[in-house]
Amino acid sequence: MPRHGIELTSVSKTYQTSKGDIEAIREVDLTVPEKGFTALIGPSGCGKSTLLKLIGDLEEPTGGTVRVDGKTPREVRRSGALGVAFQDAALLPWRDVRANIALTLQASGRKVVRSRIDELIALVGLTGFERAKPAQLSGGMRQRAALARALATDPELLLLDEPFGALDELLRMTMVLELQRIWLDRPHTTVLVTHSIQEAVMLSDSVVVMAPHPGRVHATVPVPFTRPRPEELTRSAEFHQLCDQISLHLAEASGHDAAARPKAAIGRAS
Amino acid sequence: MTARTLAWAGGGSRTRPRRVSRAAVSRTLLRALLIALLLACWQAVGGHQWFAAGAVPSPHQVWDSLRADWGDYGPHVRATLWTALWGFLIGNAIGCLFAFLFLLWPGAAPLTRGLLITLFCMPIAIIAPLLGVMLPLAAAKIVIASMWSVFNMQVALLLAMRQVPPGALAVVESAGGGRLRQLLLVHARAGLPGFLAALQINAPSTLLAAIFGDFIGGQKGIGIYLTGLIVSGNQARIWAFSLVIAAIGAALYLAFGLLRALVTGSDINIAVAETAVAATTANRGRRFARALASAVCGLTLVLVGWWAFVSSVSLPSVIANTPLDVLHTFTGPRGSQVISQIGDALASSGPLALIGVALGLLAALALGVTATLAPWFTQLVMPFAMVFQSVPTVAFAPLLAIAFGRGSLIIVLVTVLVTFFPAFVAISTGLAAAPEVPGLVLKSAAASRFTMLRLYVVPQAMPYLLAAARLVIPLAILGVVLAEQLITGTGLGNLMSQAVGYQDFPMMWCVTVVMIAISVIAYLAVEAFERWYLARRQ
Repeated sequence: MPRHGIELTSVSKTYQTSKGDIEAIREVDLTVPEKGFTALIGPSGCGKSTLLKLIGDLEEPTGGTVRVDGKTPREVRRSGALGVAFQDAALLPWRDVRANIALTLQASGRKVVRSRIDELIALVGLTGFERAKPAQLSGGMRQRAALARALATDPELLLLDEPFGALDELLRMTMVLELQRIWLDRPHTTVLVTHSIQEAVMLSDSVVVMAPHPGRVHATVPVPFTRPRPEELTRSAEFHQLCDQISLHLAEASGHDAAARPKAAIGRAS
Repeated sequence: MTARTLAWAGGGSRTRPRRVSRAAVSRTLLRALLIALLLACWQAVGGHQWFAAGAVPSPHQVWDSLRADWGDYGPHVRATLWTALWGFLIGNAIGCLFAFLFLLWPGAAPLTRGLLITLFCMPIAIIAPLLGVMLPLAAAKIVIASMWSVFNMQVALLLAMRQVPPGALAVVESAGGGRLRQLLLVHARAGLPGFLAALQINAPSTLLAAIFGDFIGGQKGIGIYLTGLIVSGNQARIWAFSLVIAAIGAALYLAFGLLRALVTGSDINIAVAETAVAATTANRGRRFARALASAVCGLTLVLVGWWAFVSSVSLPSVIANTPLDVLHTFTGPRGSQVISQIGDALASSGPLALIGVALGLLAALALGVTATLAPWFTQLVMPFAMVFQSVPTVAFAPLLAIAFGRGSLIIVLVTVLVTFFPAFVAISTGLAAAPEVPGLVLKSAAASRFTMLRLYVVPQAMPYLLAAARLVIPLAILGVVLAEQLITGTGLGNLMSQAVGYQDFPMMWCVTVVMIAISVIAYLAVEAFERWYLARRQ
């Protein structure tokens, strides 16, 4: 019987390197409902990016199973139902914004419809920059283009790996609100890897806190706020309470006391 | 840009694994197997009438010749290595001086660039006879051995010296240090990786140049011994000595590579480094003005240098021609005959050489790009390609003639051989340092392998292909000239040989000038295309 949403059962991943085996993830169970938005958060080395790559068939697990709407990640990827965006916008420097967004369509062998690309450009707020090359764009604009590229194939599954990680605080909040608007416009089943508790709480239905060495699920925290969530929400007591709760989980997961928390939250995943 | 910088920083450091992994062991075994397979093929081909009419000797025949001739090699190899050592020291020292000069006075760079490019593009096989006439034999050989090193050293050292943290300069300045202190304390240390990288590239190429210097004449030298073997026509002996030359070239490359790894642990690719330089110009109008000034200045320096050199040697002007004398030859009564002879010579080999270079580059691109589909393949063959890149492949031209005949096809083959390995190494190392994320994005969109290559890998490889095309020009020209002189008896190489035979000095000068002009123009044309291409796609 096909199930909806993402289902991970006892998923493990071990890398073999010249210095010996590295266990990135050990026996992770995780469910993301269809059209749900789940955030993965955790200290460096907790394997959250690896988990995301396993869901997207960008890497293969060494144990356990991953299913998306009852299909294997490979079937999902091959059917062109996957969209991804990373911290590195990774636009091709020799293509303008329009051609960069069309890249995933070309890659999956689909027809590039100009008007559809321009709709996406409008959706992410880049109208007027269609012909600009990546070198002429700011960091925020590049991330918008990368997001539009992920959405171009109209994916059923959207995987975001710290897409705003390289942006400053103010721009980050703007982009979070934009992403929420885009997602509400057409909800995809979405998994977001992030270092920012605020970002996770603003965007997701549930926040999965992961622990490192080896990566595993430490706690799952549901987010009760109704959408759309306005920026004012970040200044409310309930929001702060939830953030505090998650940061306590994070501190436990890192094995540090609360004083060491900011460092764990700032550290970059490798 | 940041992605590339990071990839450099990341790709450069080599950590030494504490224990040897199983993968490394199996790779080594596979390589050994590959060598064994090649030897087996060679043994099968060697000495049999069905391949090249039995002209290719088998490994054991070559081994026997090697053992028989071993005692003769010593003095010849020592003589050439001695010349090469002096050329190496002088060429690299001059390169360092230019790098320091450009660092302290950046305005000097565009003015002297033309001179340095001319040195880099110098068709040494063509100018060797003239230098032999104008200078004492030993000095002429050392000059020839030194010429190719200057530009490589200047470019690599300057680039590395400029990559300093700006804070470090401010610290020295705030402590009361001037530009000289900054140079000694900060820039000099920053330049070390570039310095060592240039030494590694220059060592085998200096050996190659020194071998060509031997063709001027003398009693002892690798080139002299090789010529003797070619005349003797004993294939096994030619093979044995060619392999020894190749081994010396590879040993020099590996030794300097080891030095570099020990001192810095870094791995800058010179081709890549130069690409970065080529991409950093803006503003069309100013660029044009600067290019014009640079061209005029470079040409003036080359002509003045030529004039000064010719007047400094006390030889009659019939032998030591000034630029004006050469102009007179072209415009004088012999002019039309000289021009038509040179034109015919060019028409006979030029197109073939171009085809060869294009084929070599295309093959390197095709193999380098498809190799990304199978990283294990790149890891397997890369050490061989690296070594082959450093081997004076041109020395194998006589062997090619044995296998493939003396027809004009040989010109194509030599240029392919000379072009392929440097281009393959440049493209492979470039692609290995390419950012990973675009590949993931394409994979996420279910891109087929072919689509992946077409949309990402090939465009990513283009700058390295162009840089390689520019850097192989002198080698390609050398290969063509050698093939013309030794094998086909056509083209400018043969025209030069005839002129040397008849002591026809005006003709020698004309051929030399035309050949240098062609080399420099080819270099500048590829560079201009490269700049245009990189500027257009950013």
